Amino acid sequence: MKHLKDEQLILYYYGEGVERAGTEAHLAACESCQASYDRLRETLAAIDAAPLPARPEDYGARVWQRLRPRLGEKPRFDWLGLFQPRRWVFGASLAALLAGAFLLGRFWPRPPEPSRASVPVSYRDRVLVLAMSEHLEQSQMLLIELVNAPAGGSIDLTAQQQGAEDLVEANRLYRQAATGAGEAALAGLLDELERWLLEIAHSPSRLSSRELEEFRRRIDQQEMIFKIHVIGRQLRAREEQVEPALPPARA
Amino acid sequence: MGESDEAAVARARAGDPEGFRVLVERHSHALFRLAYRMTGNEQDAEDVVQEAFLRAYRRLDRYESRAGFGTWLYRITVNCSLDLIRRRLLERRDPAAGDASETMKSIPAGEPGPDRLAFGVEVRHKVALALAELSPKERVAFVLRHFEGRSIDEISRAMGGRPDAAKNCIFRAVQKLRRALDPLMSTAL
Repeated sequence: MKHLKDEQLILYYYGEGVERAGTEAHLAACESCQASYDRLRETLAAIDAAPLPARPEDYGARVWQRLRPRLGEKPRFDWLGLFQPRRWVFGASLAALLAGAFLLGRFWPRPPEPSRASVPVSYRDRVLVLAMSEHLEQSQMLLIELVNAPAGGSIDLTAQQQGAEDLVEANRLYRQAATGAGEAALAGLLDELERWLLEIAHSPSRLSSRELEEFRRRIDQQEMIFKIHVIGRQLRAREEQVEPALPPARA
Repeated sequence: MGESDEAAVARARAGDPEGFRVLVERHSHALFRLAYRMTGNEQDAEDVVQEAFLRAYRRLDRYESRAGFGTWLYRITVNCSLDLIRRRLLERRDPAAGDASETMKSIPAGEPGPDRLAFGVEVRHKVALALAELSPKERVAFVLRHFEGRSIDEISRAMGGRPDAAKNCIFRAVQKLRRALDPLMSTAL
């Protein structure tokens, strides 16, 4: 007798799968599979014991009280917003820090400065290189999900659109930083990526199979996923070369 | 009977914040429950709830009623949780931030009262640790299936992937959890 696989038992437990009657009949006839299923059920039941902190009855009202003042911050994408001093300060700081990270990577290896002041710079740069490779990884995932979306009928892209929207602003800052640091290849890739992110964010939330196929064709043609993968690997390698420094002392 | 989600959304879209208040008060508990199970940390879950409502408010004009407001909000909460988990993973790689799973390890195992056996406390603590070890996608898929009772199709839509990928995430999650918890289960026998 062929025993049931773990995957079949898991699907059966959750009421999924197409062969429910067959699985049920097998369990009734096979002691070994029934024992496996009992163990699975017991383990999954124990997971329900995971603690869940209680919220007060008026939790919704409390959330609303904290949220209400923030609703005024509702951002609309306006070009004037780009000229707000706060944005410039943040963007310039990030760009300067990233430029430092690239320069640090470019001139590596060299003996570390023994002074205390060099420690936080190295630490900070490392975190920023890490953040950028994480950004590329997320963008790569987004494109992979898009390319692998199931064909047939119309495709709902809402999740990918939200993801793209979240990545656009960070991408813009990273691109500016890379340009400022003279990292032409990286800046070029981020420029290309930004156009893709904007296109995904602003496309209709449902695409026909034909439109999705066109998306895929263009992504393949431009070798976007491959390029992101290669540059991401280079960044990771650079990240490993930067000396793991001690964090700044906490007060 | 209270105002429907759709009517409240229409009011909020028309610029009446009271419409959005109805939605926040109605869905906060469910969102917190989901966010806590995703992140495993009370404060992170609170932050996710705030961020999810804020994102929803900013994107109200893109909401299409055929999905149902609760489902739409769910998807936003899943994305916010994933973003936060990724940030935590980044911090985990940052030597300054320590290990993010420390947040899970710091979960109080609960005061063992007269009605609570030591074994139960240990299981709950072990479960919290095992959940913390899942990858972000495995955790999302498992939480949505096991705790929230969502179908694999719904999970794949919420995660923006294919049903097979969601199914594999659930399989891997259950296998990891079994490896972590089976020794305890056999102790109990």
